[in-house]
Amino acid sequence: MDPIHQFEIKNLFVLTRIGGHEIAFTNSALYMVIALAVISALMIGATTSRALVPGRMQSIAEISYEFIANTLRQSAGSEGMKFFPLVFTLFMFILTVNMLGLIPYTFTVTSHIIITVSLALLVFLTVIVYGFKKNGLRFFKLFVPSGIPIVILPLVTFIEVLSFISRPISHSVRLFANMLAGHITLKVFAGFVTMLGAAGFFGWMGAVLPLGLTVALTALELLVAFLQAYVFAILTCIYLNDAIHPGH
Amino acid sequence: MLIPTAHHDAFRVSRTLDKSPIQKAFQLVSQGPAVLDLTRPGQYGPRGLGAADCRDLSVVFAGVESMADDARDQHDKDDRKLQPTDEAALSARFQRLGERLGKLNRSRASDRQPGEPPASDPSAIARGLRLSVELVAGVLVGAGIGWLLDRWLGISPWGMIVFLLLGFAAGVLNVMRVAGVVQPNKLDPPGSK
Repeated sequence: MDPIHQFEIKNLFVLTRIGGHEIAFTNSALYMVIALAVISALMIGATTSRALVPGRMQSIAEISYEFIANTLRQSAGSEGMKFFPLVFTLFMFILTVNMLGLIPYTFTVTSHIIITVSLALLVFLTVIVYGFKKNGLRFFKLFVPSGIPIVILPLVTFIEVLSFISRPISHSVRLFANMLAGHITLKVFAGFVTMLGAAGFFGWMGAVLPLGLTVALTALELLVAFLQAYVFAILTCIYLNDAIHPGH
Repeated sequence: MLIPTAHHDAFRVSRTLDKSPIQKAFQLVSQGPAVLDLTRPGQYGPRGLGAADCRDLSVVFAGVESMADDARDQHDKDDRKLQPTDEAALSARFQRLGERLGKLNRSRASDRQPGEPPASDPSAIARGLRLSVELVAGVLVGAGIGWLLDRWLGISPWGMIVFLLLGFAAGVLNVMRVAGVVQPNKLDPPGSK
């Protein structure tokens, strides 16, 4: 009945010990491995036949490739295609993990902020490292808007820097909060069904309402699971564009 | 032999029920007179003119007529001229067709402008979903930096006050960028390339 219980991390077995801390294989790690296996099976299995007229699985693989490639080309230009493996991996991982989490009794990896923050920081640091490597110190001009009076330029620059620093936070919190809130809502409404059912026949009659809402919410969560993966991917593209294109 | 008898009885009952005048009348209307088997137009015609293909029978007949007229016109143009009444009726029909097509096109045009993205554009939904968190992120960053500065430099509460306000400004800037009010920042101003 506890709606938070589903997010509990359980140690499945201990891998090793480093400095008195056990490094354990958790249920979170297990679902990441499952997601990896699902993606690999989909992508490798779908592309082995290499039919000219694609079958069902090959179509799924081709559609996901086209989708991310178009998004990346639109946001970061064709020069951004060198980051295609990164964006595609992020999108497929988040999408698969979100979708796996929607199956009852499974664990949602992205409902833990440590996962989303590490993914967002990966993108953030990639942008910084590649931006400095490609543009050198000109990368700092990202924070200095042109055509601003010299009097308020320091203030504006400072606000720009803060805006830049807030990127990984909004990037990670959005995904984490959406998945957490969605799963808690689902659990609460599904809990109403059994609670009302305990009240007898009329309770079961009344339980039709939260049951219907749970079905509707599941559909909504399916949309959110896809959209959050898409938002994460498109934001990655937008941030990478800052590092790639100095003049745009 | 019990079951066939029962079956026979049931059959007779149904037959007697069929004999009611309403049922008979219905049968006559629905099946049509049995003598004239040409109940559908074009039943013995070529396949393309089958009634199943064209629901609107008037269209079929009009098409056949006009095709025949065209052929005859080309064949012996001098002998026969188009009757003025025919021409008037034809032009009236053209006008009605044009009006209907125009109405259809206009109603389609009001649905969506060609330049506009479709209503279910995923990137539009994505942009909407981004808005809420961007402001919070800016304020959080400002508050965090202010709190750290207060602790390190011992200037409490000024670091928090100043950086919370700056963070709020950064959050508003984020939201305006997402909404497209402010252009995204570029490393180089346009024209300096």
